Amino acid sequence: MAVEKVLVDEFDILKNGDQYAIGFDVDDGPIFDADFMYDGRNCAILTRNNKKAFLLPNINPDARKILSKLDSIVIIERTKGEVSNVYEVEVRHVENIPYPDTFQEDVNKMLDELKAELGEKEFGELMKTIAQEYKKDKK
Amino acid sequence: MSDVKKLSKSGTNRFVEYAKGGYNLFKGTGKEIATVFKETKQFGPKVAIENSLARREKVHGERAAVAVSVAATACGLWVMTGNPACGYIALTCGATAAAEFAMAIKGNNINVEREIKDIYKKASNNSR
Repeated sequence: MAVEKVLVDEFDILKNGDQYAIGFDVDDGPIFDADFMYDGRNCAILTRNNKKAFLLPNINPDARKILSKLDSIVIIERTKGEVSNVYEVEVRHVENIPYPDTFQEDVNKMLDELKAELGEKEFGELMKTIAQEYKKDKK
Repeated sequence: MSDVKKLSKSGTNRFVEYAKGGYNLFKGTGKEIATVFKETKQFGPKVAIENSLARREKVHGERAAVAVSVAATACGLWVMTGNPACGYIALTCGATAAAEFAMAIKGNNINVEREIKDIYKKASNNSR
């Protein structure tokens, strides 16, 4: 049977001490078995009941380092705002998931959009303020 | 495929947000951030972020805020607290505080820097 691919629009990476979880909206009934693959880059894949493969793109670079070291992860599924399934699944570390890593590209697009909206001067002002805040935080 | 180890649903409330991801993470956020920044730039990006949380639908505000911090990180900068965990937690837990803060700014002449620091301090304490 072919596995249906689902691109996840938004998901949360959650933390409780040393334990990490991924939470997202699913409307797919009970869970029996699962497979979680991660290659240390932009995207992870959760295959559910061997029927649907949920692609989790745009994983934040800070979270990538952590996910790369995990043996297992908790999956928190939400349906209509309520937690519907919670389970732990082994993280299968694989070499290369064939999904394009567009993280930096997406960030750049967003910055271009921001620059177009604000104009060169105000965009520069925003970046300058961010830099000042960063320096303050570093102190 | 392997059998899953089912866990208690009530245990999920012990988790706090660390980061966000997803296909739509950056979509439309440039425009949203620009709008908030234009309206609140006199207070700097931190307040713009907090105001975006206070005034917009929660998830969009968070998305914008996370996108700002991601963009700043990508530029070699860090906009939040220097600690990604605290930064994200502050943005999540600070929604109510941010709403109150935005109202306070509107009505009173308050010390913006001090108030921001308080919000982040409270959020950092909540995360421990």
